[in-house]
Amino acid sequence: MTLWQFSVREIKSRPGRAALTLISIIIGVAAVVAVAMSVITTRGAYEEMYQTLTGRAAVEIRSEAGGGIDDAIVDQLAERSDVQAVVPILERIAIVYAGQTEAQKKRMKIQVMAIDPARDAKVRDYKLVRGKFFENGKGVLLEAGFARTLGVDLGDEVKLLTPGGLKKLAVVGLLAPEGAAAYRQGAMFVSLTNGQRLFKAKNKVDTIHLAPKDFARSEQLLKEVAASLPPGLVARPPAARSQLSKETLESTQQGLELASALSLIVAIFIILNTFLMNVSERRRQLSILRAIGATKGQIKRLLIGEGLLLGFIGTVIGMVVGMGGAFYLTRLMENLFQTSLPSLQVTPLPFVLGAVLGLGVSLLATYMPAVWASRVSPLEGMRPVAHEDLEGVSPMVTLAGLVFLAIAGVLAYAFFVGLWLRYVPIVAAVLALAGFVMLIPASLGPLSRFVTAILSPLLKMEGELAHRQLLRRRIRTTLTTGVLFVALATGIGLGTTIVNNVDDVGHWFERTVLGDFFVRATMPDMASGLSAEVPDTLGKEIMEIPGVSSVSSARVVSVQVDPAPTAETKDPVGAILIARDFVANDRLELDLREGEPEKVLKDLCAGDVVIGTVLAKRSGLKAGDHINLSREGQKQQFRIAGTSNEYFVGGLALYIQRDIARQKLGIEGVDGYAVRVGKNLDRGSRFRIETRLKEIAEREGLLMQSHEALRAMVDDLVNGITGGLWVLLAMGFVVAGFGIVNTLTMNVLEQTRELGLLRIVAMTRRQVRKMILSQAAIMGCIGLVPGAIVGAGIAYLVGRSSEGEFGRSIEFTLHPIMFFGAFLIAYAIVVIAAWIPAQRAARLDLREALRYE
Amino acid sequence: MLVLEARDLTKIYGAADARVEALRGVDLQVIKGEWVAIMGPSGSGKSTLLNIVGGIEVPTSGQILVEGVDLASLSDDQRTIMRRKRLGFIFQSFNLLPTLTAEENVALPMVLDGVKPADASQRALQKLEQVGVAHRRRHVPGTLSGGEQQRVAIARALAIEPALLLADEPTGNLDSASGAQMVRLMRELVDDRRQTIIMVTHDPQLAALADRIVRVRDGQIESDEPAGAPVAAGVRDFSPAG
Repeated sequence: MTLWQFSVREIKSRPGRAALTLISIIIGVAAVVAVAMSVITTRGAYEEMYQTLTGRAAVEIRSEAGGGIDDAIVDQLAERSDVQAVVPILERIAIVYAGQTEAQKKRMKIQVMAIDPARDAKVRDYKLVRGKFFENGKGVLLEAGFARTLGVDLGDEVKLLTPGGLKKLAVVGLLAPEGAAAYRQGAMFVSLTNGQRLFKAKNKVDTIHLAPKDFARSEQLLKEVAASLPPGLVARPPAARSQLSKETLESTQQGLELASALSLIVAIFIILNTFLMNVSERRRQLSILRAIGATKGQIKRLLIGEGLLLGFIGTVIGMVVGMGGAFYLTRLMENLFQTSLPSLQVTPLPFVLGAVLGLGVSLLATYMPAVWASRVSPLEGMRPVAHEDLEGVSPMVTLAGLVFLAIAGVLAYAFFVGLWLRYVPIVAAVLALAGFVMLIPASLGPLSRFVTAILSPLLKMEGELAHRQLLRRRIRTTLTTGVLFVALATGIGLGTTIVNNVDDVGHWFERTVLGDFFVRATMPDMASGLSAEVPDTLGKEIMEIPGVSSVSSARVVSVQVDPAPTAETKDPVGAILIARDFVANDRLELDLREGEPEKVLKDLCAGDVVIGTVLAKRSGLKAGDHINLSREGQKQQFRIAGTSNEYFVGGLALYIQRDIARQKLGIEGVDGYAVRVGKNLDRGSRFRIETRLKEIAEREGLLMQSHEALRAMVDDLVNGITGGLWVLLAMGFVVAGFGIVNTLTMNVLEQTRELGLLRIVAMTRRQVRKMILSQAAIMGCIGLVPGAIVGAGIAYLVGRSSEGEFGRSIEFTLHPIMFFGAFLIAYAIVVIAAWIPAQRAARLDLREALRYE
Repeated sequence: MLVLEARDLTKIYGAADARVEALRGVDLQVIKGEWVAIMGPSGSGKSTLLNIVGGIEVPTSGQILVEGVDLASLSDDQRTIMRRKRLGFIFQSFNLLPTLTAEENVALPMVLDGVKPADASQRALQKLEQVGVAHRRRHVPGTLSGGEQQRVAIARALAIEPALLLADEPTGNLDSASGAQMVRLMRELVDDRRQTIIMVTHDPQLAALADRIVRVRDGQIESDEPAGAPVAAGVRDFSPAG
C-alpha cells in the first residue's frame, strides 16, 4: 500500500463528492476548451478566406493616386531574399455578355482579375472542376456556380466589354467554389498578359501582393518594402485582411469568454467547497495520520495530490466534452456569420489552456484546504466528539475582499472613463464576485440573524436552531452561500445580458429589414459583407409583378474611411458601404442612434450618409461631421446625417443613397432586392407574388426569402447562441444544487448526535425536517438575494462594456420575469436539494444517533 | 535505563480569566520495560500529561525527555518524526483508518517513514500475527469486532518498535472478554519484550495490572507507587478464563 493508493481509496469512498468535484472541473474546462477551439476554428477559417483572397500575401502595394503600377517593379521585388512570391494583379470592372439566343442572353457586371498563373498559384488556391488552366495565356476561368448563373459551360464563349470593344473569350476552365474562386464568385480570371492587352494596360498592374518566406516577419517586410518604394506607391497590409470580420468575431468571442470565465469561478467555489468539506469530514482521520507520524508536509501533499488527481481526470473529460461543445459552437458561428467553416481545428492551444486552467483551478481550490488540513492537531483523534469549525476566518479574508472590491471598482471606473481594455469588464466582474464572497464570513452572523428574524414567523424555533448550526460551521456555510451567490449572480448577469442582446438584435432587425421578400444571389457574409452580384434588370421585372408596391435594391461594397484626428487609429478604417434605395417621405429603415428619422431620411436622399455606431467609434466620427470615403482610387467627402445600430459586419457599415453612390463613387450593380407588397393585400395575392418571385429566383439561380423566413433564420441563429449559454447556466445551478446537498448532508452527519438528542427530548420528525430545511432557506436568502442584485450589476457592466466594441451600450433592461424567475428557480433548487438531507435527519435511528461519533 | 523523564512540566491554557493550569510542575521517570498507569479524576491533567509525553502537545515550561531527546525543544515536524519512529499510540476508540485494511493500517506508519510498501506489508503481517489477528489482515475496520480493531491498533503501534507505547483508556470501548485479552497482551509485551507502556485510565482494576500507578490531581502528581496486586489476580477480573 502506498500513500497514493490511500488517496485513491479515499476518493472512491466518497463517490458523490468526487463526482461533484469532477463535474465542476469538467464544466469549467469544457467551457474554456469549447470557446477557445471554436474561436480558433472561426478565426482560422477567416484567416484562410483572406489568404485565398489576398493569397498568403502580407503586403499589398498600390498606387497612391489609384493609377496603375509599372510591372517592372515586380522583378525588382522578386529579388528580395525574404519574399516567397511577388504576385501582380490587374483588376477591372467589366460587363460580360453570355448566351446565344434572346432568352438565354445575360448581361452582368463583373470583376475581371488578370493574374500571372505561375506566380499566383504560389499564393492562392485554384481548384479546377473541369477544363484546364489558361491555354497559352488565352481563355477565361469562371467559378462553376457563377458559370451556371451566366448560362455558360466549358468551351462556350462569352463576350467582354473592354475599352477595345466587345471581345470574345472561351471558357477554358471551371473552378470549384473554394479557394480563390469562393470569395470572387462574380469574378472572371484571365491571364495577366491577356488582361493587359484587353484593357490596354501594357506593362501595368493595379496591385502587387508580396508573400513573405516567414509570415512572422510580415511587419518587418512591410516596413522595409514601404521604405524602398518609389514615390507614388504605398505598401500596406492587404486590403481584404481588414479588421471587419475580426471586429465581428471579437464581440462574440468576448461574450463567450465572459461565460467561460464565470463558469470557471463557479467551478473554483464548488471545488473549494467540496475539498473543504472533505477535509472537515476527514479531520479525525487526518489527526490520526498526524498522531502516527505523518508530517504537515505529507498531509498537505496527500490532499493536494488528491485534488490534482481529480483535477487531472476532470480536465481530461472536460477536454473531450469541450471538443463536443466546440463542434456545437462552431456550427452556431457558421450560422451566425452565414459562412461555411471547415471542420474543427484541433490545435494544442485550447488543450494547453484547458489543462492549465483545469489543473490550476484544482490546485488553487485544494491548496487552502490542504494547508488547513495539515494544521489539524493530532489531539483531535483522541477527542470523542467532533471539533467545531476548522479555523476561525482570518480578518485578512475580509480585508482581501475589500481590496478586491476596491480594485474592481477602480477597474469599472477606468472602464467607464474610456479605458476600453478588452478583459477589463471580465476581470472587474470576477474580482467583484470574489470580493463579495470574501465579505460573507464577516457578515455571516448579522446576515443570518437578520434573515432568521425576517423568516421567524415562518421558521419559528427551528429557524433559530438552524441559524445557530449554520454559524457553528462558518466556513462551510460561507462557501455554500458563496456558491449560491456566484451561481445566481452569474446566472442573472449573463441571462439579462443575453436577453438584452437578443432584444437589441430583434429591434435592429425590425427597424432595418423591412421588405416583405428578399431576392439575392447569396446570403451576405455577416463578417466580411461580401456577396455576389445579381442582374440589375431584375428590379424592373419584379416591380411589374401585380401587387408589388416597391422594390428597393442594395449594393454592398468595401470602402476605406479616413479617421478623425481624435480617433485612436491613424490608419484608414475598412468598412462596408451599403448603397440602398431610400425613398423620401417613406419610413426610414434604420435603427437610428443619433438623428431624427425624418430629417436623416431627407439628408440621406440629399447625399448624406448614416454610419454604424461601431464605425463611428473606430473612426472617431459623429453625426454632423464629414466623412472621407475611398473606393478604387476615388475619394469623396460626405456629411454624416446620423448614426445607426448595425449588426451587419459587426457594425462597421455605413448607408448611402444608391443614386448618390453611383454618381459619386461609381458604384454600380445590385447585390439584392427588398420587395414590398401592398399593405392590404389578401393572402392569395401575396402567395402569387411569392410564387412569381420564386420562379424568377430559380431562373436566375438566386435566393428568395420572405421576411418571416429571414426573421426565423435570424431567430434561429440567436437562439442557437443563447441556447448554449442557457445550458451552461443551467448546469451551474444544478452543480450549485449538489453543493447544497453536500453541505446539508455534512451538517446532518455532524449533528447526528444532537439530532438524536433533540428527537428524544422533544422534536418530532417533522420539526427535525423543518430545521434542516430552515438551514437551506437561510443560506438561500443570504446567498441568493445579494447574488441577484450583483447579477443585475454585472449585466449593467457588460451592457455598458459593449460601448467599447459597438460605440454604444446595449440598452440595460432588468427583465422582471427573468430576474425573479431565476431567483425563484434557484431558491426552489436550494430547498429541493435540502430535502434529501432533511429526510435523512428526520429518519434517524435514535439509538444509533446517540452512539454516533 | 530511563526511557522517559519529565522535569518540572507545566501546561497553561488560555490567558487572564480563562487561564487554566493543566499541569503544575510534574516530574516523572519511567524505565525500560515498565508499565505505568496514570489515574485521576476528569480535568486532573492526566490526558494533558499523556499528550505531552506523546509529543502531541508541548509543555508551557519544563522538559520532556524521550530516550534523552527533549520533545519540547523540537519543531513540529521533528516531533512528528519522533512520534513516527519512537512512540506508539493506542486510543480508546481505536482510530483505525476506515478505508484501509488491517494490514494497511499497520503498515501506514512505516509507509509514511519511507519504508518500501512490500517491506512494510511484511512487517505489518508479522505484527498482526504477534497480536493474533493475522487471519483478518485483509478486512477493513468496519468488518472487525472491537477487540480485533484494538489488536490491529496495537499492531500498528508496535510496528515501529516504539520506545514508548502510550495508551489512552485502551479497554474503554471493549467488552470484558476483549478487555481481558487486551490486558493479557499488554502484560506479555512488558514481560516478554520489555515494552515500556504508559496508560491513562479511570479504571482501578485495569490500573492494578500495571507495575506502577501515578495518581494526578489538579495538575500535580498526588502519589506514585507500585501497583499492589499480582498480575494474575488482576487478569482474573477481566476474564472468566483468566
